[in-house]
Amino acid sequence: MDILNTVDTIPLENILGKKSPDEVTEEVKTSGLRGRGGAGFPSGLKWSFLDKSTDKPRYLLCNADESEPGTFKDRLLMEKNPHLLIEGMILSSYALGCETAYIYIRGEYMFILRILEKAIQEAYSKGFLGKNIKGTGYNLDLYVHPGAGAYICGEETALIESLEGKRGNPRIKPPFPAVSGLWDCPTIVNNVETIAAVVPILKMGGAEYAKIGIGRSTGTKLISASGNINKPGVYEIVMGVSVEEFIYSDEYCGGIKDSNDIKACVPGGSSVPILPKHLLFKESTGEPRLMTYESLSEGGFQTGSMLGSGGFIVYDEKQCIVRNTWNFARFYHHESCGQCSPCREGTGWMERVLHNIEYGHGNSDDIDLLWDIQRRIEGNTICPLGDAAAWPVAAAIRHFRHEFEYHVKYPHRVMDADHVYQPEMKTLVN
Amino acid sequence: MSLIFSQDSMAEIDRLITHYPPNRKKSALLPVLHVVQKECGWLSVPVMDKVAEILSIKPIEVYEVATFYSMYHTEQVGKYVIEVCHTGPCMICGADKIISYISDKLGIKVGETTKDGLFTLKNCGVSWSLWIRTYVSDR
Ligand SMILES: Cc1cc2nc3c(=O)[nH]c(=O)nc-3n(C[C@H](O)[C@H](O)[C@H](O)COP(=O)(O)O)c2cc1C
Ligand code: SF4
Repeated sequence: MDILNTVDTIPLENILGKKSPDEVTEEVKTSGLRGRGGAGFPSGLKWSFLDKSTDKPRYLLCNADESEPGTFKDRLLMEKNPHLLIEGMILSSYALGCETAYIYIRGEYMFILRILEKAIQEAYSKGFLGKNIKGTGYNLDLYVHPGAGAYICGEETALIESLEGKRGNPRIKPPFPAVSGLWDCPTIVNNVETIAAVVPILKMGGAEYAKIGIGRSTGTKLISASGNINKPGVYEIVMGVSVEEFIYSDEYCGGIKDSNDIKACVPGGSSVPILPKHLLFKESTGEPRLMTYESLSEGGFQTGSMLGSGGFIVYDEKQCIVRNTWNFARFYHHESCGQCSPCREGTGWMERVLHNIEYGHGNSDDIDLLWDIQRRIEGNTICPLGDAAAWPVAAAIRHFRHEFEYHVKYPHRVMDADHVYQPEMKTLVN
Repeated sequence: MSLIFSQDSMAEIDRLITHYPPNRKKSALLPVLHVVQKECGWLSVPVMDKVAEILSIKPIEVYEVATFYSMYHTEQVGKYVIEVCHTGPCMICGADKIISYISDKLGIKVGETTKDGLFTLKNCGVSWSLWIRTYVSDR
């Protein structure tokens, strides 16, 4: 498969009208496709939750908000292959019985919005969108809706609020969007890559698609690789490639820049726990760690992380974990919508404490204080942004406590002007 | 005071409104604010009030949205807004050095605008790996 470049897709007439919407949903269930937006929820199952008992219109929303630090795969897919997404939207909307669908794209991607609108125009003029698509009697209108710079609008209920022309404040669930979403109508929100994957699934059949990958991680996954590697970029992998191969093979990241040693890796976007080198390449059982939902999360947060959105950030031995953790905390503080006190206050507090430690004003109680704050945020908020802010802090302390202690103990010795580690740090890290 | 947007902007606004059901005009708010900000450079109170009038909503509904989203400027900004991402992946690749270089060259701090009104320097509110964003408000 080559979802960034394929142009040979399926004639829509072979599906619309020939297969029933439920049969299309069944194919997606059989394929084992799981959400590519972060949570990895089985897509066919999610679709089956859509409330079809009312006569209200139903909506499909494509989540192209892509704002997680380290994640830039949807951007490439939409830039290079907009028609694949449009075709996926048509097939998915057909399966769900939607006659109107929206692509919610982050405002910073305005130039991609133009690409999509042009492609949508082409699809309308060729009869793939609009009334009575290709003579099948199925109608679909597709629009693109820009956001305006708010990470929280990637959360599905905040996305819906934003599409309704409001602030991006997540809603309390239940009701879930599948029952009451956009304008109180049944709504499904799926990531760009999830929707694009529906095309190859229907082309080859769900059962064939399920043969790609390993176990419950079927198909291919786009990985955004960044950080201190030789070849940053977006790679489509068959799920099951080992982490070691992904980092060191010339087909993918091409190894660590300047032949440095690797210190750590955040495998699934800034929200997921960081993994130190000794846990990155091997699971706790000693088996090689693979790029799959299961293998990356093996051992829970004690020894594992998550595949998340596939934002793969690699840190070499010169990077400072405290600084990175402070950086992420600053991001979550800035992006908290402010509705829940633990998230609004906790993210700001963590940022301040981390700033103090990083800039040499920390004391030995601060590390335990940080641990305490993150624990009080996790699980106590309306939406998962609170967890997403807490997990990176918890993981950094769990695996790199010595770096925090070093900062507190030798505040003036930690950094040179370029924020690069002093050599003596290395002995302490290993 | 009666404020009028250009014909091009109004045509674009009319097109955007058709994307939503007739009783859901408010949904066009975010895209419409992008259109008028492009024309006016920033979102002053009269601009926001006019948008409220066009979409048949209360002015406060526009203000609360304009202040929530980081891409909307509710204060005057330079003709060119330079935004540099400084989240994790960009930071470890030297974003801070880029920011201080631009800051030195322009003689402004992050969040400030040059005296000639040409450039505003900002940190990218949300991340964008390895990316410098300049977008132009052609006034
Ligand atoms: C704070 C936050 C930000 C999110 N950002 C995104 C995003 O940018 N893109 C995305 O597809 N999903 C994002 N999600 C996940 C969505 O809420 C939702 O689970 C996803 O769009 C479902 O699509 P999928 O099942 O196809 O993965 C975010 C979730 C949270 C809590
Ligand atoms: S957890 Fe944070 S972002 Fe989510 S609703 Fe609460 S305050 Fe808003």
